[in-house]
Amino acid sequence: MPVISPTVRLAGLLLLLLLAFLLDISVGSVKIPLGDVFHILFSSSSKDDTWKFIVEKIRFPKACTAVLAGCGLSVSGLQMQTLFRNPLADPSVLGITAGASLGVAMVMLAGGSIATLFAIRELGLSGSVLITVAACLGAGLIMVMVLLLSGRLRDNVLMLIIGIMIGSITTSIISIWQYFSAPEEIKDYLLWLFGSLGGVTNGQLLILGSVTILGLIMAWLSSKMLDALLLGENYARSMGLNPQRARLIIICSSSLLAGSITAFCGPIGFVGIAVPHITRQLFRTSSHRILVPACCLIGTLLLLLCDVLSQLPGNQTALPINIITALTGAPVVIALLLRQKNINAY
Amino acid sequence: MPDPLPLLQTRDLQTGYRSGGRKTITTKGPLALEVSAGQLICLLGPNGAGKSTLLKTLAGLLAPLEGSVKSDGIDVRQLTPIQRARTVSLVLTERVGTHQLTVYSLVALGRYPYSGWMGGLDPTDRTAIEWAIEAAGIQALRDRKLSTLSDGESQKVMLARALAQDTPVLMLDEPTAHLDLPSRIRLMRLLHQLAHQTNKGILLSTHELELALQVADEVWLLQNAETLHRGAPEDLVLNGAFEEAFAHEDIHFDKQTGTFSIQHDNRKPVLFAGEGLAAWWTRRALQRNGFFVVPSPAAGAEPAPLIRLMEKGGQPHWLLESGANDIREFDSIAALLAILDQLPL
Amino acid sequence: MYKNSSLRFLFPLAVILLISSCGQSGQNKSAVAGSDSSNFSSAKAIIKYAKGFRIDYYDHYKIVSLLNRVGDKTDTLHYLLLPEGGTPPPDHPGLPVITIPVKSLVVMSSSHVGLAEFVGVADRIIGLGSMKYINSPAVRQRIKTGAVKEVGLDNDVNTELLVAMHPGAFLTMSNPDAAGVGKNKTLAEAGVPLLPVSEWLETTPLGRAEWVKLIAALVNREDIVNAKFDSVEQEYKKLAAIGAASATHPSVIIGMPYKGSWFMPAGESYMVQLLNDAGAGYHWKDTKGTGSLSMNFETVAPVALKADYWLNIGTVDSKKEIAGRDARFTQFAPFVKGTIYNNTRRTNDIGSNDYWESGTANPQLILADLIRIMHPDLLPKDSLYYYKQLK
Repeated sequence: MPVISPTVRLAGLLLLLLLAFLLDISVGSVKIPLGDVFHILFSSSSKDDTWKFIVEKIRFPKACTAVLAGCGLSVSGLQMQTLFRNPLADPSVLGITAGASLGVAMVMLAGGSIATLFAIRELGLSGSVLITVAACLGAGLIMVMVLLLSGRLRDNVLMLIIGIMIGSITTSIISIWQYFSAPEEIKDYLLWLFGSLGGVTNGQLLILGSVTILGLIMAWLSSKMLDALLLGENYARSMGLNPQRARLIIICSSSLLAGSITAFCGPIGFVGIAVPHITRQLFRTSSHRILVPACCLIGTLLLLLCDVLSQLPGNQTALPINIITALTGAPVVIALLLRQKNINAY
Repeated sequence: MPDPLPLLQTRDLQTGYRSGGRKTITTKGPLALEVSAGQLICLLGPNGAGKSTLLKTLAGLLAPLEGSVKSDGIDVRQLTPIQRARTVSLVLTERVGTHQLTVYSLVALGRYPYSGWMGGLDPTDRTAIEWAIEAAGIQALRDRKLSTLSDGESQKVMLARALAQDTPVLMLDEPTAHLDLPSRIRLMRLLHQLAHQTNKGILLSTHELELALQVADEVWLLQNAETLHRGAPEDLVLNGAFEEAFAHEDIHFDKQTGTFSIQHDNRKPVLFAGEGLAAWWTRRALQRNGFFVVPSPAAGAEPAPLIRLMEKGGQPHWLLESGANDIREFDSIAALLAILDQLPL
Repeated sequence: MYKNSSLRFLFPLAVILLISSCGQSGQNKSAVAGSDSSNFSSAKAIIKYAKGFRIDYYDHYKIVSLLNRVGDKTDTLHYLLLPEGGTPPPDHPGLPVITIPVKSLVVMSSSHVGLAEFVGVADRIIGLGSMKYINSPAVRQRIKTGAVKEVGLDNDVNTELLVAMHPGAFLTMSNPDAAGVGKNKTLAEAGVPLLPVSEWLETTPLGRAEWVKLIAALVNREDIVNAKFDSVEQEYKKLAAIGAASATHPSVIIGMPYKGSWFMPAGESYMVQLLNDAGAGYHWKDTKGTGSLSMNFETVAPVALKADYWLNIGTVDSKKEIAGRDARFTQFAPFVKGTIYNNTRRTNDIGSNDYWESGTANPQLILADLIRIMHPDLLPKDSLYYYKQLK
């Protein structure tokens, strides 16, 4: 492989990403001429109000959500793989998304009173904030639990099993809750659970965007800690890492990312585990200073392309994004790992 | 030449683990230890004697149960993580499984306590990294991925990382554990040179008693939870500390050779007469096979077979006298042993 | 099926899966057969609209056939309705027997309650899948006095309880081909007279309503029910004629997106039949299928932006709530003009909606509402029955 500097690769990816973003906005069930799409995007005017609505209110926020979810989930997965020193760690495997779901379920099903529910629904945007906060807290809670338990174990596989178990417990708690809640309330929860990239409006985008960007900045600033953690906690401590603080920052950042995206888009699996592997293989580095932005770009690219695939022309239905990410991404990961022949490639 | 001011000094130290309000003492102490500049100290002791715990406590990663570890008069537990990382660097037994990391990046991680918020490196850092790579002799490996390294190479790379950390004290936990013999010897020699040339205090734990005896300026011999002998290796041999520390029914420490041998339960006495290289190896072979070698061939003192080492045409030959007129001749130790085993003793 | 429960979401899907193509043959024709000397019910039910069942009358027994249309095949389940003390006829061996008149019912769906109410036998209900969604005051009174037990839905059905209850008939909402599967099989073997009442698979409003005749056959009330159904039918047809003659066809959207998909009723479905009869202009009325179309937001948006009416939008109860769900909804023309109508007027204090209960047997009331909403001038001014305008 010819040596291309990471900066050039990042720039190349950025260009690809821009193209993918524009492509995502240009294709859809409704045929809108490319010229009109650009006209709407850049001058915010159009001869057709419907087109304007579709581009501005449907496609643009959806593409932005794909960008944010792609960045957030990949980086969160990267952080977890490094923190837990486990190539299989990702938000959904370790029960972090289940934790976010628990947070959301708590808000939606708590008290069991329809009044609370109506209050949240009518809150509109501030309701979204509430659900976001709950999801982030839920994600953080589970992550702290997994980490506390894993602190007693040196074995990665055991730790993974513990994470999965905690995830199952969380899911079961939610199920019990659902079982005893009125169908009215469950319905709202189910609606959320099956959320998609398309459910985020421009107003909510602002909340999702600011939380995600905050999480990403924290993640990038923690690159040095993550690098040190690559060598294991003992080495990291011997090099001057304050493990408590590092964990706190990484968990905060990861919970913000996984929590907020889960809150708005529902649990999207696969991206968190796959993108870090793809990125490491493409960039052939373990340096988080490069991996964090690179994961953002590749995660975004993956989600944008999946979204394009989900709405290929002539397709009026909306395939859940989960299906497409797994269908397209999993073979890529398998191929890359086979080439690498070693699963411990975190 | 030991420095008048030690780099690390312990007072009334007792090491062990605390978990859930319970204390597990590994070394009771109280220990008064010093690591001085330019010294290579080998920490020896049987498995489970608490070598790793003592190392981690000295490095400030583990809180002592009692007493303190001080560097420059300051308790290492009071230092900030960064200050501590600038005082002691470590090479641990755990393997680093980060396959996409190159050797250079790994060594560069040693600059963690000095580099900026994002891990950016300035010229000082780069100089330190280059020096560490050269000192550890891994120039040829600098662009390799960790996953492609042999055990010996990867141990040297981890050493380079610790060197890049540029600390007065360097500690290594069983650095020779997975290495083949030449690599062990080379690594030990390298550490010995480093201690003397860079004036670092180097402390390493090891099982390699014989190697340690050859390179250590000082040996800390952890006998058990209660006792730690310290001193020059030769002194510890002479005062019987080694024998005591590794005392075991079937292990025998030979002060003459500085080696251990397996001791069999029902040792059979043989008399042996001979000198030189061949005599040394003969004695060894006899011991290995469960014979108790009576050094002086005082004829008739004991009813035991007598082995005489002779020379015949520049080659060693052995004569075995196992009765009044039963004398046999052998041209190899193996042949001798084969017959010895059949003698009714 | 509990229309208000989350299960409702499975409904369109189930319809798509189960009757993706509806091979209709002649079984829906009147099914009177054989002897006319019946000494147990004076009238016979004649099935005109429903395609899921038929009843054959013999001299001292009836045979109910449940038709399951999968692809171009028709499976049939037969049940022998035998008067108490009657001897099973030798020419139909091995049929499950239901003793008539049925004195006690366990029903799984709120629309079953509506059917029973229509027939006048709601007071014979002794068990319900869930007690949460019952509107009928009579049944709710019986729940209060403990005369009705909750037996659980779907996989949560308490088989032991059901067997111990000895119901005269157990009406499930499963598809007929699921009658012999899983717990249903256990129940049937235990002698529980299990009868899949799949009125929700019918594709016309009158077809759905006609399932009252099945209940009637169970309780020997064919005479009364025939008369009641005839008046429903006539009223419906009269209204449909008015709706069809309307000069305008206002455009309508239905429901809300779920799981990123917007389920719109397909062209051959029951809902679209209602819309057509009400003189509405439905954008997807020429599509194939009797279930739902799963569409993405973008496909619906161009229609929704310019629609005249927005109907049946689920559990939301105000425009504010709609805006809270998704701010983009506020730009839809019905939101701006205030022409959003939901079928939730008759929702009671525990959140149960009579539309899903009595509405099944009274499609003429639904149709009248729809015509009053979209063509206020065509009918005498009156208040809406099931529908209300969201503010």
